[in-house]
Amino acid sequence: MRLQALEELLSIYSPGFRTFLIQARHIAPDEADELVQAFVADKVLAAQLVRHADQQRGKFRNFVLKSLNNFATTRRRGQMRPGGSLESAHDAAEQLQFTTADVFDRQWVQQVVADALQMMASDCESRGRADMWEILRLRVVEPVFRGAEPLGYEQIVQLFGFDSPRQAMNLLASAKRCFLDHLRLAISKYVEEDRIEEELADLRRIVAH
Amino acid sequence: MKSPSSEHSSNAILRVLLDSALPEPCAWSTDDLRAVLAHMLATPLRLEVLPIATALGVPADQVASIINQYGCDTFGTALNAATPNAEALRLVKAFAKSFLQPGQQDLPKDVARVLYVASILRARKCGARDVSSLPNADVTREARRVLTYDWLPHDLRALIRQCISLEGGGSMSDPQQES
Repeated sequence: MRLQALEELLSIYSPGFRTFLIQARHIAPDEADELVQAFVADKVLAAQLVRHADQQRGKFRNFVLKSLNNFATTRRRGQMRPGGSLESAHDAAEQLQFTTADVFDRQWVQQVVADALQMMASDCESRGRADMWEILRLRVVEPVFRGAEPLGYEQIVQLFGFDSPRQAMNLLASAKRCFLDHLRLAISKYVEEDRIEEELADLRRIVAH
Repeated sequence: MKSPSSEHSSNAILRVLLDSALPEPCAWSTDDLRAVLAHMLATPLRLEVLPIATALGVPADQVASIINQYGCDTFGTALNAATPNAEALRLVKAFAKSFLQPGQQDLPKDVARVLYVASILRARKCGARDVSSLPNADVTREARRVLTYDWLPHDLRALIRQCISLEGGGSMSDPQQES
């Protein structure tokens, strides 16, 4: 795995690491931050995980999360006062099984989507296709992220000056394709090209729940 | 752009954007469908020469020539003309039918269905029964479906009801006029 890809991967995964530790392991936010930093420095950047990642193609997300879970358990056990209580690794592993999809995966989805949308916005602007970004923003992004009313058809026609409904629908369909292209790009920043479809399939599976 | 703040939102946007079965990223409201149909009826046929030609499998010049020859202006006038022109209705029907096909996303299917049904009924009303080989029962069934759309404009609703009666569809009930 390239170093740049690893950095991208960490930027995508880190919020999920933190949320996992707070929600699934009930670790205080400050301690969770420290654990994530230590995990990245000790395990990931030391390339131990990267080596395994190549051996565990397709399972890296689960693998790295289990590693984080073990890392947190070991670290906290080392810091535990005599007689203090700390859940066993076994309990944590069970907990992990139930919470991985609910916590980490969804956080991952959020990061990838945000990244893809950000890239699409910049790309559309630089290519002089602000219309494509605008129609997706007003029709989809603002409604689902901020609860805004989707821009109505009449407003769309007024804003863009379409001569026929087909032009409007075409632009929406193009915007959708453009988003998917950027989603692939966002994914390609941290996985090899031959694994992009696999990641997309994972995304579909997660959001379908 | 601010970063998305909710994982629920991310899932929602992905569901609609990744699901190829959904015709639009967000479903159109009733008001939107009414507006799309109104816009479609006001759209000049000449703007849609290419998709019509593709649907009919003929050269675009031929379609343009029909439009010029018969003086059809918009989709609306082709459907509502006092003296309907069968050739113009054939163009409308071909256009609409092409957007009812699976995978077509360039026009909401319900809007395409209105144009399709109205063009067939109108053509049959003026004696051009060969505009569609669809059996009467199928046309009537589709027409009943269209009449359930509460965004259907009154003139088209009246036209469809009248045509159905002439087709022998009986004194059918109109869900939007009951209650």
